[in-house]
Amino acid sequence: MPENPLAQLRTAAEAVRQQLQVNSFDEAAVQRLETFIEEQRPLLTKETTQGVVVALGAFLGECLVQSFKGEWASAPDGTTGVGIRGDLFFNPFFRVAMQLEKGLSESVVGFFASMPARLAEPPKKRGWI
Amino acid sequence: MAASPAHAQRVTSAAAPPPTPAPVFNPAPYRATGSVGSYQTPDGHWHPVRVGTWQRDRVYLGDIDGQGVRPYFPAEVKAFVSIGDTVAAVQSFVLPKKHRLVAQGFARQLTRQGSYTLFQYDHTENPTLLSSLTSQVMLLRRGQEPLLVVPTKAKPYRALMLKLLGDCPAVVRQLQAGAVHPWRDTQALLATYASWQNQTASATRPITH
Repeated sequence: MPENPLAQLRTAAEAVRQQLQVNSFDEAAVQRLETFIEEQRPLLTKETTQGVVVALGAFLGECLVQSFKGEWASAPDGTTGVGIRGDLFFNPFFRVAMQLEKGLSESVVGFFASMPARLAEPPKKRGWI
Repeated sequence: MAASPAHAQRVTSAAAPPPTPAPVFNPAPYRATGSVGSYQTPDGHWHPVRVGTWQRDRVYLGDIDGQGVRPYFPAEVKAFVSIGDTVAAVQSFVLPKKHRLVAQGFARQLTRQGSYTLFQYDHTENPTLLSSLTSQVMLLRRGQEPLLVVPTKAKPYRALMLKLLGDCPAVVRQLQAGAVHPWRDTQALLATYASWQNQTASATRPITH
């Protein structure tokens, strides 16, 4: 029976956590993720990138969920990401893909570090369900 | 001799047409819309069903007589067939634009050739003829491997097809000729490849008596 997509994402995130040998889904884990992406960048081909983006994106998403009280959510276009505070929606798969494509100038650590400032902004109208 | 009143009543009753039943009003809403088809549950079994409309993330199914219509989601329905179309549940693929993850959805099966299945997925909620020009992607699955989004730009498309189907000389010739259009020609390429695979398998199979 096809699994609940949320369970699949959490399973993927947990598998990456074990592979990265980190204890939790926190800032230190995101720093380890950044290093791992830099190690993998030269080894990836276009065909293998998609699977890596899904797995590492699930891990980064779970770090957002657990560090900033987020929740896995659906955007109006039906795609999956992390909703926080009822008005912010983030696509962790895009952040991972950006670092894979452009390197440290689009680091996942930089994105993660920008979260407190983003959360300090006044709430906007909720755009996800 | 005149018949007795009791006899006359009996004869009249036996010869009369049966009473017409009064129409019964059913207050329940009746929705026999959609078409008769079948759907596959996650355990692999197929069941007859009336298939209503469907979108990227749900399909409306009811009994054959149109009762009990409700939305079903990809976790509940592995595939459904309606008016000659097969639509299957697909999972975990990334849309090329902005790397958006589709955790699960329904996609129309375009063809199944050998170990390859080709799907068409539309990521808009209510696709129109105009929106579908830019909102559709082709998904390719080999066996039970993860789905691949088929590139629509010529160079990455050729690279992917050569990687997957490059052991078939006829496919390589077509790809190298450069006249292949992803949306128009992928089904034909997969058919050529499957046919070549079958011929190769037949040629190498030992003859037994």
